[in-house]
Amino acid sequence: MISRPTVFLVDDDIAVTRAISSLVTMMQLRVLTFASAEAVLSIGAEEFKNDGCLVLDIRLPGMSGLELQKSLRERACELPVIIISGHADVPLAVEAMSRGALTVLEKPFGLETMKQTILQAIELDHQRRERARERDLVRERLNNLTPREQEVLALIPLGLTNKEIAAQLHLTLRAIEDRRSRLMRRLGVRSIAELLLLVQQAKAA
Amino acid sequence: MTKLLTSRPAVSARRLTEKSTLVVVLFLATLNFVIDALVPLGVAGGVPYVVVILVALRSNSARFVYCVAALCSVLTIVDIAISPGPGTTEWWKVIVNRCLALFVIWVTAILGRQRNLAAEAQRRHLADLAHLSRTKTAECLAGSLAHELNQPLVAIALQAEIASELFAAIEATSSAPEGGLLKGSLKEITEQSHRASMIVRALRDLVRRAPSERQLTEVNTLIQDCVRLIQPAAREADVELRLQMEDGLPLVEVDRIQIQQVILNLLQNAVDALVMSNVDERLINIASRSSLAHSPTREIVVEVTDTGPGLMAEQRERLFEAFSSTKPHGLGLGLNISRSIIEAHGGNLTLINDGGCAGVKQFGTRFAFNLPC
Repeated sequence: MISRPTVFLVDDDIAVTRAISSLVTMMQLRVLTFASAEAVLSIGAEEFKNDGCLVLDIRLPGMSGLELQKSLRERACELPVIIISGHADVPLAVEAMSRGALTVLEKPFGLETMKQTILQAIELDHQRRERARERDLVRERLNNLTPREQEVLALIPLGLTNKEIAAQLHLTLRAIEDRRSRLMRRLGVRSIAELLLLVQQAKAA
Repeated sequence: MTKLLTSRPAVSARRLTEKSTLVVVLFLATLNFVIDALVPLGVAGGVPYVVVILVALRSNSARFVYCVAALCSVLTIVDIAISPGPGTTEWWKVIVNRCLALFVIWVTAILGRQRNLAAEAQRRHLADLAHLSRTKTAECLAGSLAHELNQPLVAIALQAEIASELFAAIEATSSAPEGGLLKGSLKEITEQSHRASMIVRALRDLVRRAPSERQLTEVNTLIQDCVRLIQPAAREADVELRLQMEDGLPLVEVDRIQIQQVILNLLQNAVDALVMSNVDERLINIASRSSLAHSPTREIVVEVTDTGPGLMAEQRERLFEAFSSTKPHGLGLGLNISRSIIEAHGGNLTLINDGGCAGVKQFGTRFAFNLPC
């Protein structure tokens, strides 16, 4: 299901929340607003399945923005985080950045800045998800190989020749050549370079 | 000391008391001299000059006190010449009597001066503390104001820009001549609210003080100082203060004045809560301890507990907000300031809800803060 990207807005000030949600709505994006960090954690995980980003006021009642950032990460939710900060919160903002926030917007910020930042965050999230999707596909293809093919595949990246592989697996050269061409066909790659790239992709975290 | 008394009314009031002190001193000295001159020398007539010295000690001037002591000494000696004679007493006893009188006069003068000096030092310390507290209040007031005003200002600016964009979309279809004016006025709203934000920020930067001075400190000493300061108010309100301090706590590196201000604020709130309520048991428990042994970071915890009526749910929610107070004339900054101080020290100031505390069976409100060491 393809749905519009969602902006999760966490701010305890109603006026600021209203202003930013109007802006987000104007950008044809979906907006969910929360008055506290705890409220964000109370929603279901499926809400985080679409592209999106988190806009977070650094000063919140109860759980702080920094703690929310951490809790979300623990739940494997890797939405890009945009921090809104007051002038006085520079040290907090620095810490937020070091914990992986995408950027810090200092109040007062202009409409254009906010827009660009949100678009950039959503684009980032989109790319990240794309990469993850590709990686999952590659992994699936690799997992679909037979155990025998996988045996051979594990040895190819080590730079062994077919002869050496045959020796190591106690098989004939002919059998190795067979398996090798079969697995390359099944993975849809035409050269060793492409094959290695695929393996690399699957390994990426 | 004169530096503290800078306003004019205070100076003139002081002159008045000095003047009246001088009159009383001269009157008493003359009176004693006349009586001493009329009675035989055998009577130790010099000793009552002590009263004159005690009156002279009302003045804060050391020179004045010692001049009066010298005058009394001269009068004591002069009296030997004009008195009607030694009476039935031998001359050596007369001399011993006079010497004793001189001794008592000077001991009184010197000890009295020392006591005055100590009282002065104490008063000055309190004045300094009060001044620092005011400075900090102004700083936090500006800080809170800046934060509170910034929120609506951000909203105004954003909404004006949004309105401007929405208008641009409408403008494409219709062509009213007022369009340019409306755009201009929306732009003005945005710019002016940004300007207001800047002004508020400048105000806060202006008031902000130099970074606080931190030194290694024993928390228990700070607590004792604060208890001493709050004691008069507590006694007046019939509130008992109980101390539960753990010995041998590690030192913490803090701004002493600021932490004292936090403790004083908590104690003052507790006293106020007990005064406003009519509970029978009026007790404030102040406890200090180090964190549990298995905790990864060492820290010191300070708790202030009172037996007052406690806080209602809605009060608890707004507890640390600036400008929210449960007191009729409260500014609503005390806990806000205290929390920012403790957070600046790397700790937390929180309201504790659970029951059970050694020393206080049932409690109304308990605050705790921790300081890493």
